Amino acid sequence: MGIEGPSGSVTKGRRRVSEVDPVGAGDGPGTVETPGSVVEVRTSASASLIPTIRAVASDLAARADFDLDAISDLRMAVDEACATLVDVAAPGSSLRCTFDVREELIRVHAEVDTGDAATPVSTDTFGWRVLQTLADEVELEANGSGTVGIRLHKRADAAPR
Amino acid sequence: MHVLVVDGEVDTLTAPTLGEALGALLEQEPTDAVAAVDLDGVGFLASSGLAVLIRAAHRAEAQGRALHLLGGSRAVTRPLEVTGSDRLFTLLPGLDELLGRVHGDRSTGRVRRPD
Amino acid sequence: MSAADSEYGHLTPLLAEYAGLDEDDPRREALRDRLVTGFLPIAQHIARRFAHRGEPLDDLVQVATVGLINAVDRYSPEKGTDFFSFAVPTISGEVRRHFRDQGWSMRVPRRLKDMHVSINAAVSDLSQRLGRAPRPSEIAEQLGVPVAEVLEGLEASEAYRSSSLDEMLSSEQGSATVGELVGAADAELDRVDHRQALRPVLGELAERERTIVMLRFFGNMTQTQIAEQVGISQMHVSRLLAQTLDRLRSRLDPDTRTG
Repeated sequence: MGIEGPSGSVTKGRRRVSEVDPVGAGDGPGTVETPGSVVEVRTSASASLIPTIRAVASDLAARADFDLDAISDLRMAVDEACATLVDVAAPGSSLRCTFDVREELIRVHAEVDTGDAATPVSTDTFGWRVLQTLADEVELEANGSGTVGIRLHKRADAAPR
Repeated sequence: MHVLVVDGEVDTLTAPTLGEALGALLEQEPTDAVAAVDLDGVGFLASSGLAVLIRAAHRAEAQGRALHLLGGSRAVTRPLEVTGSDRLFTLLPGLDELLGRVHGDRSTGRVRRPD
Repeated sequence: MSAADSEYGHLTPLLAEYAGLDEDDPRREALRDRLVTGFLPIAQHIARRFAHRGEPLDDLVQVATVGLINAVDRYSPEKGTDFFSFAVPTISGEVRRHFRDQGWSMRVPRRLKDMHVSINAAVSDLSQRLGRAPRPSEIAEQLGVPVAEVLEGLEASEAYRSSSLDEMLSSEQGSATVGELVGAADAELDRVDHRQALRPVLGELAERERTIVMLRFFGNMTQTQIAEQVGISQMHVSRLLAQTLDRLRSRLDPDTRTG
């Protein structure tokens, strides 16, 4: 799948202040992502860049030692959230996706600018229903201020279905 | 028997292509009882991909036949299970099992005659 | 299949004879050779279809012949299907598997391929034992390797299945390609994005219809279960479901959409 258009940026930084992981994280080179890390991915709001974002989600979950189903679920949930947002994004705007890697939990916040002619995000779709099933918690943020966001949590152990 | 082979990632970009191919698959000889989609090479299946598969399953059902899905990678089975849509399809591990089921697999299903 | 019938017609009785032999019958081997030699043009034809992908034709014919042997071994004439509709997918399936493995081997080092195999075994073992999907750390412990290697192996497995859909979409029936199939069925096909299309349609359904559709298709309930839940008869559920689906279908079909 080709990746085109203006390139996105991936930035990673330590969480502020006392969010440092109390347990022994990082028991070897390249093993487990330190809990308390924040990873932010910004791309143009284009469906062609979603594969990149979901790959980041999948990689973070694997490094945070999520079980394989939970990794799969997070990848799909992030894909779904991003696809939903790209649909309503203003032309030429960007998609901002933040991953907050905690102990046994990843919090994701994705957001786009909708411009003036805001198309409302409907939660009456198959996609939204799937998103609710995949994520442990999901919330739509539409406050009419020209941006729409989706916030979701995924725990490291997938709930048995 | 027709088998549609799908490789790659099925998401919002590629689902329409899959939808077209499924439409074409189900256009073929609707009297044929078996229509199958080999998803063994699929590394990602988004809800948009699930939606086209579900529609195809219903169309096949309306034609009086079952849509078989082949391939058992987690990327495919997990979305099907999580959404409960696995029940709409006949799921088989691969082409070999489909052929075995349709034609009788002599290497495994053979009954030896007593001498 | 009439051209094929005349060309291969003399083999049909042999297929029946072969299928009727016991596995340890001494005549099996000679008969199998005759069948494989007789049907070899099919394997060669399928191999040629894949020849533009940069693999030597001889190699492809060899792989296709393995598929043909499998087809000859597994075919049961009493099931009523002709040999071709059984052999063609079997043979091209073999060739495709070859390409996927080949392409993957070129990109992935030997060490990771081995790791991929070990991981798969560990995953199914652990899934059974734990009753859930394992974590990378659990796989690493089971295999006695560092987590980093497991992560690398998992990534490689993903690469195995991530080639472009457009490139690889193909159909296994005779020599028809998806391009041809799609061309023939063009008028029927929807080119709309379902996300976009379903949204307004589901939104405009009455509460009860929406509930029924949701329960049936996304909640996996039977019509009878839905009838109980919603408090109407199963027949009524069936009728509402059919009406609703018609409506969804016509809305999703660009040709009948009134806009």
